[in-house]
Amino acid sequence: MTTTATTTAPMLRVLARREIRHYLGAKLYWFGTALLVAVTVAGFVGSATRGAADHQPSAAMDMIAPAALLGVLGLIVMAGLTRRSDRAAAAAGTVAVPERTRTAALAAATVVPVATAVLWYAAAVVTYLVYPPTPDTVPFPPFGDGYVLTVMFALGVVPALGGPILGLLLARWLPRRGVTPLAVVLVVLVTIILQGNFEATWRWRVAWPWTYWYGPFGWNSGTGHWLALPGSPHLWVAYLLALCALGVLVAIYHDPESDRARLRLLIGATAGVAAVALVLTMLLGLPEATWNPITGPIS
Amino acid sequence: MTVTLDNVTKSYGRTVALHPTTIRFDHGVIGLLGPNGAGKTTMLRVLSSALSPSAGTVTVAGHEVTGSHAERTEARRRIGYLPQEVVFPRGMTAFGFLDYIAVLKEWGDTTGRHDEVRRVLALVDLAERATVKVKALSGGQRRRLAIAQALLGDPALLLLDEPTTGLDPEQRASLRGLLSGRPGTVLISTHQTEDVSALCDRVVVLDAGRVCFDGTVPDLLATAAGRVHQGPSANPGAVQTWRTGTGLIRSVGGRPAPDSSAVEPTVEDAYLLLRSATPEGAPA
Repeated sequence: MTTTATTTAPMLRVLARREIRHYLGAKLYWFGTALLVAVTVAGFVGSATRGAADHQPSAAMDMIAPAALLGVLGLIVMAGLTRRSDRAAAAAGTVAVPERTRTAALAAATVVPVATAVLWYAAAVVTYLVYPPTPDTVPFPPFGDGYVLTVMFALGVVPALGGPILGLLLARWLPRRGVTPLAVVLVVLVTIILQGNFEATWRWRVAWPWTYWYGPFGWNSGTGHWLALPGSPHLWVAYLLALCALGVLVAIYHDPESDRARLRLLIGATAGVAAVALVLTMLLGLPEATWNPITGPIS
Repeated sequence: MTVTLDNVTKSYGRTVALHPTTIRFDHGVIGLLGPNGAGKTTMLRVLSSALSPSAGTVTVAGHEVTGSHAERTEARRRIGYLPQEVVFPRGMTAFGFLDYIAVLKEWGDTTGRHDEVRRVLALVDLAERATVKVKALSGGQRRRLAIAQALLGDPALLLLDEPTTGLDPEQRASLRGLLSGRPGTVLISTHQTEDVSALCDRVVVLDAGRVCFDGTVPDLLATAAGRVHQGPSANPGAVQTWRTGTGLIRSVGGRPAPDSSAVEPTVEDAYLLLRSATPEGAPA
């Protein structure tokens, strides 16, 4: 009678492979990746053709491209994949694989944008080392290259994980039409506000998952100093990764058949880790905003 | 394969969709008949575990659908379910859709899964359309695709909610052939009384969330014996009357008109008479 389904391979692994293929089949992902490649190559070529007197930061230090093209677009891609998975499960009415396994498999598909972001990061690090930034930008004492490379990782690679996970979370808990584009607009708006332009936000701006850590903030009469904002980017990476883990757990929690008591404990613990990492991000690292003593023209 | 509902109730707020129901389904094709809102879909959803009952227990092949997660999963492994309305995921081909569902039904091995997908596509006569995007399929083809997903793994319990909606007569006949040859238990919710008479070993009629008939097709027909007439005029007090293609008037129920003669009742006649006997179904 009932043909026994072959259950030798753990279903999460099988489903994760399927969702990875679905992510790789998303046109928006390829659109973002193509643009990112173009921007990265242009940055490298631009660095090669610029003279040392141009007073430019390394082209590799622009993290908007990977954050937007892999992170923000990833939010849209993942929300679409989640909806597709839900529709398929609803079309079958009832299936043996529970929603939490599908959610975990979708979360596993973030390996695609993250791997792409890691490749970008490798290219960015090479660009940074081959064409280092001019002394009037970053790094400057008391921090060095490690600080800059950590910020590049936090702002360039982690959004490729966080964006899709936010898409997964929204599709699970707010599966309404228009939520995804609204979320994209809100993310961009809040990021603009909390990028460090306002001194009042310098200490706590790191609570937001995308913010600047340094930049040419002295914009008076064409010349200015680069400014590094307070906090520890190393601990900020830990905070962001804890937020990502929290996002996955909350998305899994949506399954009414999941072990919610255990999940609540895990969610509480992860939220605690995130909170501690956030507080440490604010308290450790640079104690105050620090100016680069070398002045240069504002780029 | 035995399926049982033991004192199962389902309410949506104050509305009772299924009154306390105890029923057992064994091997064979069973038809669920009833008007809209009778509780057919609720019963199928409860059986499939897509919906939790408000009270009572549901057991599929000894596994309690209403029990622990492990029990529910064991039950789900034995169930194929066609929901009444299916919204297909975007961007998938017919094969891709079934392949994804097969993964959700725990088909881990790729070769075996693909063979199974091809098997059910052939069963519903969609093998030639396997690579076509679902959105490019016709309504009938989509319905057959939805039926195909229910057939994946040849489940011991097949729950079909209005499977023939959107199918042409040839496809309906083909589906009947497919279902009539199946071992195990098939539960079909339908408004098509001819499907019931052609296919079902047993008929359950639901009305306002209650089982008002449970028996074989001949049992159901027997309830209408001598109560359906045909003649030049309608039976006074008939439940339903209509002019047939021969020009004669067919009357279901009522007092026989003097010049009419009794005819063989159909399942539809019996169903109409059964409905008229219930408070909800009585003519105004």
